[in-house]
Amino acid sequence: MELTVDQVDAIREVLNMGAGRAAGILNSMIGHPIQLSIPRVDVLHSPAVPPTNEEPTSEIALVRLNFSGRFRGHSSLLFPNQSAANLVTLLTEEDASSPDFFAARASTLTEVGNIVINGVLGTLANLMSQPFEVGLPIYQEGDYQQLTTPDGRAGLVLVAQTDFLVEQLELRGSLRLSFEVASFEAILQALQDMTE
Amino acid sequence: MSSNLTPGLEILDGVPVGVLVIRDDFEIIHWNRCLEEWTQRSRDEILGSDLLELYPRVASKRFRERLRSVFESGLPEVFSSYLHGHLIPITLPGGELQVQHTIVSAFAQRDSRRRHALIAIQDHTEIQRRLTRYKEMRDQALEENRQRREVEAQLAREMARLEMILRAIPEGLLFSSIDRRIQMANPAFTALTGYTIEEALGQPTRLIYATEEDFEKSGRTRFHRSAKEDLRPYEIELRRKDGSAFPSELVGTPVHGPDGKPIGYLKVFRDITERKEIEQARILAIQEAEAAVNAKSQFVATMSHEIRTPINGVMGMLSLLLDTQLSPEQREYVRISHSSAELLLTLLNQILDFSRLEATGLDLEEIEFELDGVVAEACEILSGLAGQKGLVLQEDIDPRCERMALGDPGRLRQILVNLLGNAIKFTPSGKIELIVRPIDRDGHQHRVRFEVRDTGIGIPPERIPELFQAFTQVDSSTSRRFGGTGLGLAISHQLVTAMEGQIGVESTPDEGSTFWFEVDLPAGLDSETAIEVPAGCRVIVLGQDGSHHERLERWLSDWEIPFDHFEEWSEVARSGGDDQRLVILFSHECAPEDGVCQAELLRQAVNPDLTLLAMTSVNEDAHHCQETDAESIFPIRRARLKEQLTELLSKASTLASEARPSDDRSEVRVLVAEDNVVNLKVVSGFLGKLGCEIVVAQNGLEALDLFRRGSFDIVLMDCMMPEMDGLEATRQIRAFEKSKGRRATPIVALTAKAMPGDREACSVVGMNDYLTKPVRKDELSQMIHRWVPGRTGRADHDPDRPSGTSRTPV
Repeated sequence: MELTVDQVDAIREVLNMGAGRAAGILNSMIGHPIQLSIPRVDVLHSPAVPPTNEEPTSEIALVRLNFSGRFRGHSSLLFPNQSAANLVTLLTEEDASSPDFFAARASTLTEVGNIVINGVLGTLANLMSQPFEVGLPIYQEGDYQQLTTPDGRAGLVLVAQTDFLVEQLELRGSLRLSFEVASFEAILQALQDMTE
Repeated sequence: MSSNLTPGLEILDGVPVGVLVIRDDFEIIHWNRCLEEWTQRSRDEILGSDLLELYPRVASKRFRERLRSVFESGLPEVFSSYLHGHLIPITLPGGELQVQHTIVSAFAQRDSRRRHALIAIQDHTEIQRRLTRYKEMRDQALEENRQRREVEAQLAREMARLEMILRAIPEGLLFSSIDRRIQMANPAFTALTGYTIEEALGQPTRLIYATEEDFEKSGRTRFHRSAKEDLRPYEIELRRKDGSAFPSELVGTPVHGPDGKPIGYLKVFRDITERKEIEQARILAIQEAEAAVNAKSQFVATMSHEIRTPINGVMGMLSLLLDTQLSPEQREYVRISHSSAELLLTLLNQILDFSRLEATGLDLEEIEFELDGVVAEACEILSGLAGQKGLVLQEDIDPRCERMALGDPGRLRQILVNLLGNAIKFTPSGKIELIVRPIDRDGHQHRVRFEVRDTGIGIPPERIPELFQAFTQVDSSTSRRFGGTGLGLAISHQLVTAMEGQIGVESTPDEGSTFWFEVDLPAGLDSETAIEVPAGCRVIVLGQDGSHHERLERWLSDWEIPFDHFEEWSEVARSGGDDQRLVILFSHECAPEDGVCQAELLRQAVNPDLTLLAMTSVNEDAHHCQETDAESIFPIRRARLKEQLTELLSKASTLASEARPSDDRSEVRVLVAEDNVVNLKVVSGFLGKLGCEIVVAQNGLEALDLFRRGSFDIVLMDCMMPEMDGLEATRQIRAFEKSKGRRATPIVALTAKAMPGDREACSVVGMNDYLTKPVRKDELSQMIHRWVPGRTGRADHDPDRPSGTSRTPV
């Protein structure tokens, strides 16, 4: 399924709105001005193939949520290891060499992932008046290839590059929304309805 | 508020998770048992309270916003105590705050418009602890992994380097397992054997051996030899893939594992075809060279024999001629002919000697000899020549020198003769001194320095370096003026070098030269025996104090001869002792005429039994003494003096007990085996003069036959004869004597061959002594005297006495 430029723009717009909401929550939580933006959206036909701007071999940290309802699929937020460590240090002021850092990292990233993904999914649900169920976040660390192919189900993947800009520090993550094909068509339909 | 608002929530009491339920106005409508335990606050106390009042922190913006979003969107939220802090602080027994993971989910009661939120607080303290532990383990594993990878990388680099080295080694290299299969090989292995590494791997090492036997032999020894031996390369023939063999040098060493057990065997080998060829060529070249040297040596030996024989004849005949009635003019001619022949012989000897040195190198003897004897002989040989030129020849041996030395007396004498001859040749007038003294006894043990000082023409300094080279004389014109081959110094140089000594010269033109050499002469065994002085005999040494006397007295002490020393003849007379036989040694310092005169006076005045022994360093004086009644000794030699004293004293003893020996004592019977007519005439002539009875054999067989039938006092045996040579004849004579139980008759070899080894050959077959041709009368006389003592002597002084009976068929 090929998306038109307009369709991609529409998706990016919706995702950015969600990111804005998530940024608001993060802001109020940590008391630092933080901006979230999604400058680029790719549509992949296979989750195993990384988008061109992602380094496939690196170690990553990942927060994943399953969702169901009108739309079914799962969503994950990926951070390259270094970005993940920097983000955790920034948010918790926990030093990377401290023995608690690993635990802090898992729970912090889980929460950040939850906030961002909930923000985006919440926005999507509100806009389309299509409530859906969201599961609890799962945190994982490991190899990119392993973590990005959790199951063999075919589907479409929206890969949204997510930039965190905190105190002049640029951190990059990647938000992935995997939809079952039918769900994705429903989204496109909803988007079209919305813009008409 | 009552719990009935939330029917069914009691079920949450059973879970190990803190659970509370709030309404959207933050009123707490459920507080489960787990929370009661954690917070120590009972449900009844809590229910209906406002969460914000109970825990004012929740009112903070960060909590409130998110809780609100839960109520608004219905999406679950996660609160980590790391990021958010604690919604409800719970203190652990240790005082720490519990690590919490809080999940807030919104739900709506069916019968109420109000939204509710269920807040589940999980205790993550243990999870965190486990995570931390897991992380530590993971980090450790990662670190180990990293280290392992580093080690592997290092190993890989080492392997690569090893591979490179193996490639670079030009020798074939082979590692085989215990069961002798090839495990590893290098490219040079391929180059040498023709087998690719792939072909070789796994194959038995038999592959490269030329024969099954070599393979088995190598297998037997490979783990039995000690490590040291293993590194010794050995040569072995190996075989290439195409079947051709090549010689190789192989070194093998067992390889042991860390536990010390052998794990295989490493072989390194190279192709030595080229080296073998060179070696072969060298061996061939050496063989050829040796053959050439042998031929040359053979030639020299032959020449030596061929040349000496006629000269022997010439000189012998001239000696005999001199003893016949001649006019003064004829006598002078003969004398000149004789000395010319002698000079010719000297020259030939030098040339032959040098050739021989060149051809065969030097075989130095190491035997015991008397140092002063050798010095004396050298001086004696040249005293005639010195006397002719009116030169004084003096010798001075330092008393500190060892009397008996160990070395090669013949060669030492040769050097001295060369140096003295040289000095005489180049000294028109004055004197020549031979000085012998030990030097530097501590550093170089037994180093002896010989100096020959002359008052000759000297040598310009710039010519000195060339002196010791062959065929060099200072000026070719000098050789015309002074004669000689110029080989003497070169031969001396070679001899001294062979003795590991040094030779040199210091010289001032027109003043003289000092030729010197230094050699090591270890002390020999001094087996000096005492001389018995018969009762009634008295030994008197007469003369002024001086070096001669010092020496003489020391010798006499050595021989344990008691003696008196007087300075004047008159003192002897005064000392009395009428009844004694007097043996008087007097030196040349008293004029000989005077001495003889005085002795005569003494004899008349005191004692008719007087034996006189005159010691002189001038030959003419000695002759003069001999014409009188005195025995003489010239030059004064320890050995000769001892010999003469022994004889004199024994004679004195005889005189003391018996009458003088009668002259009719039987003559010495000599068997002469000699095939050369000229030599035979010479020897027979001399023997006749010595008063011997001569029986002649012309070959070994005849000699043996005559010996069996007759009885002889001594046999003179030529070595080279037809039919049976002298050596074989001697062997058979000795066998004959043994079979008959007779004592051994002295046999003296007569030979022109003077090559090293001849003397040994003669002594092996049982000969007693050795005379080199041309035979001189005095040498022959000494020889007879030595082996047939007390039977000749007087005859020598009686020229009118008829010659000995000769059965010579010539």
